[in-house]
Amino acid sequence: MPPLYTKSKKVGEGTYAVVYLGHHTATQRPIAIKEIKAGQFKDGLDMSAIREMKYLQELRHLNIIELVDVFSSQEGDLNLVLEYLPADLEMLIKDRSILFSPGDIKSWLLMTLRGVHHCHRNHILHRDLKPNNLLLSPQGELKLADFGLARSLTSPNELLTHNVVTRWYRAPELLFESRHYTEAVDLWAVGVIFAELMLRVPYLPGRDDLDQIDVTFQALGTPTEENWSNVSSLPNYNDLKIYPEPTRSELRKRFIGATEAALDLMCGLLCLNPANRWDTERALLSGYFKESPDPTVPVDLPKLSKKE
Amino acid sequence: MSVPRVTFDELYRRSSQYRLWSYTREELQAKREAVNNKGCLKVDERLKQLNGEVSEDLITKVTVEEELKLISFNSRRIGMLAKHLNLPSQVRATAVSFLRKFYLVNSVMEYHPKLVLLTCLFLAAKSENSFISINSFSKRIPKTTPESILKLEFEVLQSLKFTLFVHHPFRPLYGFFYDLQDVLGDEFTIEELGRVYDKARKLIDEALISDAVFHFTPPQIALACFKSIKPELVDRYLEKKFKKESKSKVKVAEAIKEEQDEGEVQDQDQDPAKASANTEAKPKKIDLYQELSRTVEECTAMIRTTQNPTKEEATDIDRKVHYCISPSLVLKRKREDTSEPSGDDTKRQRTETPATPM
Ligand SMILES: Nc1ncnc2c1ncn2[C@@H]1O[C@H](COP(=O)(O)OP(=O)(O)OP(=O)(O)O)[C@@H](O)[C@H]1O
Repeated sequence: MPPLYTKSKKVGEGTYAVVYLGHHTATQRPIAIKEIKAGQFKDGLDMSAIREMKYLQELRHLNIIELVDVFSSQEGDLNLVLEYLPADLEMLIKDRSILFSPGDIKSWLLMTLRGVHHCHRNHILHRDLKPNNLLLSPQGELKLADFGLARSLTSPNELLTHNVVTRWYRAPELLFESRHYTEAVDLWAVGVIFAELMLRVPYLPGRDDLDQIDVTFQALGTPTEENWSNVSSLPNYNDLKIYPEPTRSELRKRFIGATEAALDLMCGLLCLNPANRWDTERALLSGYFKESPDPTVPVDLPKLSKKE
Repeated sequence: MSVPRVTFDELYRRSSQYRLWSYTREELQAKREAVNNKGCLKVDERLKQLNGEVSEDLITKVTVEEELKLISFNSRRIGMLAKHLNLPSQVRATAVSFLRKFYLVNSVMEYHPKLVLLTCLFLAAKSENSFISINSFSKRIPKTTPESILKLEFEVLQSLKFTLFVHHPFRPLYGFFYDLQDVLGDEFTIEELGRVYDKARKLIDEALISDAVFHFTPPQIALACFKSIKPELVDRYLEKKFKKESKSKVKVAEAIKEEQDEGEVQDQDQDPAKASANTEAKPKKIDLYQELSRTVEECTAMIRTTQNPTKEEATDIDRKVHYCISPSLVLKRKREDTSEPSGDDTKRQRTETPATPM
């Protein structure tokens, strides 16, 4: 019997896996094979691999990377077969030869929010949203990937670790090391990504964890008891420089060309207090998605100029 | 906290728990018989490899019924072990689920549950975000080594078809607790509802060992747990929420059903047999209230019939399984039996009974 999948070249390597380009033998569909080395970790299968497998098995959505199959090789390695998505949003943002139209940005944001919405209605937090984890299909569809940090919310009283989300996309409650955060951490990250799509540079690029706090609040204002009750009792809320919240005209100046509805949405996502931050539903129903221009249809979205 | 859905639930239907691990009673029985057959064949194979050294009548294979008893016994042991290790109820419940699913694919005559349960518990702790290192895990459980536990991890994952997400009734139970206060607050006091809730929550552990988990959805099991403690509470609740006096009530029930947005992949698995095994498929055509009452009643009855073998029964099956897995040990016992008829046997029994704090 011929193997179900063939592996060709290695395309990348992460902390717990090596990724190969491969093909589904029968259909010749290109796939990514993520080979997790068994026996490489002294505690058995790595936690990130467990999470990725656990959540992707449950999430089937156009805007979430598809886990096609899981199989074990002769050597006992675990292989996750994923759809092959050769580009990501970070590559596009960095490619200065490409111009983004307002419709393009709207389209990527819409697809991101739909993917996140599907996670959240299944009570799953992604916890590592960033342009690098938003992969793009050759047809232009955007898909959330890398569920190695994801987790489900099972009971409202559980303690969670604050050490999640890549620094630049980390919500204020995480910066304050809160252990009772919610889906809202993902929406903050989407807000930062939205800003980055408009600016074409990272919006809140902290140099380290301490600097991140400063950069974040300098841009968006320091939370106080007035707009976030009990914030001052969070573990890491101390020695803060108090910055004022940016005025609307300051935001307009920073985000030239953004419509009022776009700014409303961005501010809703970047609301300091997680309790008042917009959820996916509110974001998806916002005026931004109703006003013109329409989101660009995925096939017409900009693609990488040079083939990788 | 939203009210759990007891009616048609589009999201749940897309879960691996529904797609891969929900069966009709006939399907479940057929699976267990097939697994038992596979186990018997495996024992025959082992005997053959011993070239007739061990005669067949020295080995007693176990029946489907006995397999079930042994699995139930070991499921309960997971509970005790998890308490000993201070693991949360979510981990315990998931480990039990892993163990029981494992034995829908493998026979106890292939892998002894007393070993598999340790791997299930360790894996469940990782899967439910309660990681303990294998060294400290093994250290706290006598007579284990990190290797003996990790050795089976892959087999367990494979038997689970690499699906690790388990929906438990805890969350729905909690949701119903709040909705019960809303809907029946004028008929039952909060204190009373609180007492019922506490008892129902304890009963979930029993439900997880019953076959209800293969036939019913977690919200249905949650309601059945409430019903087992205080039947009239659930009767009144369903009556008030779903009894068809006006059309609007039915609408509420249908509205509970989630809409699909454009991005979603359609449910590929619309097997009607499965649909009827799980929950009513078409709330429009049937009397929703009666249907729900019947479903919850069936589920309640199933929870009541949880297997609970005595220690002696379990030990007896355990010994049979022991020789099924290692037939050559029967010779050793025979030799020892003739030289030392009584004392040694009790000692052996003790070591065979799993060596963990009970
Ligand atoms: N589905 C895919 N299609 C195409 N290439 C992929 C796919 N998934 C991963 N890759 C490539 O393989 C590389 C490694 O991916 P992987 O997800 O293992 O790690 P990572 O997310 O980059 O890092 P880490 O493991 O530290 O989180 C990626 O950077 C990417 O280049």
